[in-house]
This record gives sequence, structure tokens and C-alpha cells, in this order.
Amino acid sequence: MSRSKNKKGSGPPERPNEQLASEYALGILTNNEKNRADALFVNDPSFRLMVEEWQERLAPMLDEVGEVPAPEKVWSEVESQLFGAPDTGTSASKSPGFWSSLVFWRRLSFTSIAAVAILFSIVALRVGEPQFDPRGRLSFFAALNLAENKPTFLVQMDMNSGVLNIQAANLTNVESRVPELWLIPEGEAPLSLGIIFADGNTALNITRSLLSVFKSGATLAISLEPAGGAPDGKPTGPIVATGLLQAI
Amino acid sequence: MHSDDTLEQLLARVQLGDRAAFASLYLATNAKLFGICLRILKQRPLAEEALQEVYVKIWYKADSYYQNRSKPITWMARVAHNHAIDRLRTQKPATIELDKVMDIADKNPSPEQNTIAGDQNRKLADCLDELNEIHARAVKLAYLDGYTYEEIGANISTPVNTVKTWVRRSLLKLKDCMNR
Repeated sequence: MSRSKNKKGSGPPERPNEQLASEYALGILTNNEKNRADALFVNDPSFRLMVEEWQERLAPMLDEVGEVPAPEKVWSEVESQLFGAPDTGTSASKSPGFWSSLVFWRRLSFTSIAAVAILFSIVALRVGEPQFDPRGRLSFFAALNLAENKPTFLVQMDMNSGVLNIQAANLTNVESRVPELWLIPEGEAPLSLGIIFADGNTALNITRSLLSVFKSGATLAISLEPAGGAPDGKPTGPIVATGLLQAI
Repeated sequence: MHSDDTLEQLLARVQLGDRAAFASLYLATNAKLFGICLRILKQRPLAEEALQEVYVKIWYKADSYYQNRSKPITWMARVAHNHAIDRLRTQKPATIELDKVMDIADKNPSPEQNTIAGDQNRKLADCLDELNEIHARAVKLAYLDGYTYEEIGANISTPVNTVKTWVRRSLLKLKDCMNR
């Protein structure tokens, strides 16, 4: 029974319960052993510290696990669990979920454009469940990224008012050209939504005929065009940013 | 690294109750954490529930991040891993087909800011390479797939007690190797 405590060989001797801590961090324990470790973790700071050391040691293995984007509903459930349920009631023309989402995106656009731009290539998140309200409260969001990790354009589309807001990154090297925003329905030709400012916010009124083309999965793109916009209604200049339209 | 600063800043703001920062943090990290939950729990509905709970924990526990010196993504990945394991252990003994779903989440590599291994702990991979191959497999089945000793034994057709010995020794060897 000489091998019951410390394994022979190199390395520092095991501390009490270190084996349990390592197995606990590995996640392999079940039933009674898991319960015992759970209790120690709560009640014994030295055990907790060992577990955390082991967790830290093992965590790089998780890099092997590929990323899988979570379905959008997870975020809305997190949001409603933490901050209150979005109003799914009948009359809600100002459901908290919807408005807090707008407020959220607005805040996001002012406070963390840089962070967002660095963190995502193309961001697409639906905040809250889509609202299939006959009055058409369904609205859209898109984040358009430039090549080479440059800042991002954030787009909000309010289907109620027909106003599209685009918060532009500071677009440099525009020279004599102007950025033009395009909506590209899946599998179709780009439709011009209008000229936007190279920096700051632009509000575009979207015509009724174009409103029907706003659907999740359509692409928004920005190209650089001659002053006055693309002459033939088709993009002629380089595409500098694209992103997917997402219902919020 | 800049992108790490950013996750760090977001977590700092989350700690102060900043919802917008929390949403940004979610956007930046949900795919990483969902991959972890899905790998362990194997079933999307379970993984989705677990992920939801993970972010609720992250919201409430953001201040405890500062008690350790992990990279933000490491801390968050640990929260996800622990929670997914807890969920797995409180499930009924699985009727899950353990092998079939293993490859689900292995296609998309993490972007840089979501990478846990820094230069100093990239060693884990090297140390795993030093283990006997089947021992390393046992360790990974436990950690990445949430397998129990019994399940590993079944998977690699090895008696449970042998698996226990392998895994425990492997953990010690990993520690020694990483302390080198």
C-alpha cells in the first residue's frame, strides 16, 4: 500500500485532496464524490483554490472546441431573465423588450463601436423575439464591417417610421467619393438606399416600395461612388463594408 | 493584446451593471461558450438552457473575475465548462449517443480574442502530447466531453479501475510537465 498517498516519481508532492480537486476540475466525478467535492469547494478555501488552479491549467484544452453561434433566442431569454420579460402581450406597441433593445443598440452605437468593430467581423444578433405584428413593428439591425478590422457601421431600421439610421465609422480615404448604402435581397441585384455621411449618423427615409424588401438575411453593403451616387443605380465603386440584416 | 483589453473592459463594465457591455460581451463570446456547452451536453436544447444559465451567472459573478488573473475568455470558458458539467451530472444517466455528436463543434476555430492558451500556457498541448496517446484521449474525453470513468472505460474498452489510474496519473504528469 505504499502507493496510496503520493504517486512515485517527479514533481511536488500532492497536497491533501489534490487528487479530488484535479478530478473535480476535470469534471469526471459523479454522485457521492462529486457531492463531496461540491461541499468542499463551498466550504474549504484551500480546496477551492486548488480546484481553480486545476481549472486554469486544464482550460486551454477548451480551445480545441470549435465555436458554434448560439441561437438568437438564448440572448432574449438571458435578457428577460435578468432584466425582466419582454412584453408579449397583445396591445404592446411599446413592448419593453423592443424599446430596451433600441435603447440598447443606441447606447451600443455610441459607447462601444470600437469594441464592437474589433470583436466582430459581421455581427448579427436579434434582440428579443421577432414581432410579427400586423402593424409591422418588425425592425432590423445590421453591423457592417470594413476590410482590415476597421470600424463598423451600425444600422437600425425602424419599420414603423420607415427610417433607417446608420451610425458610420469614420471612413477615411474616401477622397472625392461618397459612401452609398445598398440593400441586396438574397439572390437579387443591389437596391440603392441612399448616400450616407462618411462619418457620424445618417437617417434615411426608406420608400414604401423598398420597405417590403427588408427581410432577415438580406445583405447591406456600402460602396464608394462618385459624388451624387452611383449613376445607373448600380454600385460602381469598391465595396467597403457588408453585413447581414437581422430582425430585432 | 488589444482585443483582450476589450473583453476585459467589457467585463469591468458588466461588473458595474452595464447592460450594453453585457450584450457586447455576449455577442463576442456566445459561440465559444455555446460550443463548450454543446460539446459536453450533446443536445442542443440542453446546451441552450445551460448557456442561458451561464450568462446569468456571468452577469452576477462578474466581480469574482477580478479575484483571479485569468484572461476573461478563460474565466468565462471555465464558468461554462463547470456549469455544463453540473448540468450533465444532474441529468438522468444519459441515453445520449456519445460518439455521434463529438464532431459537431470542431469546425470553426476561435478568433484570437477567444483563444485561451497564451504563450505561457500553450504548454498544456505539449504536455498532453507527452502522455501516452490513449491516456491523453481519456483525459480529453473527460474534460471536453464530460465522460465519466465508466463511460471512458466503455469508449476505449478498458476496465474502469485502469482508466482511473491512467487519468489520475495523467493529471499529475500534466501538472509536473506544466510546472517545468
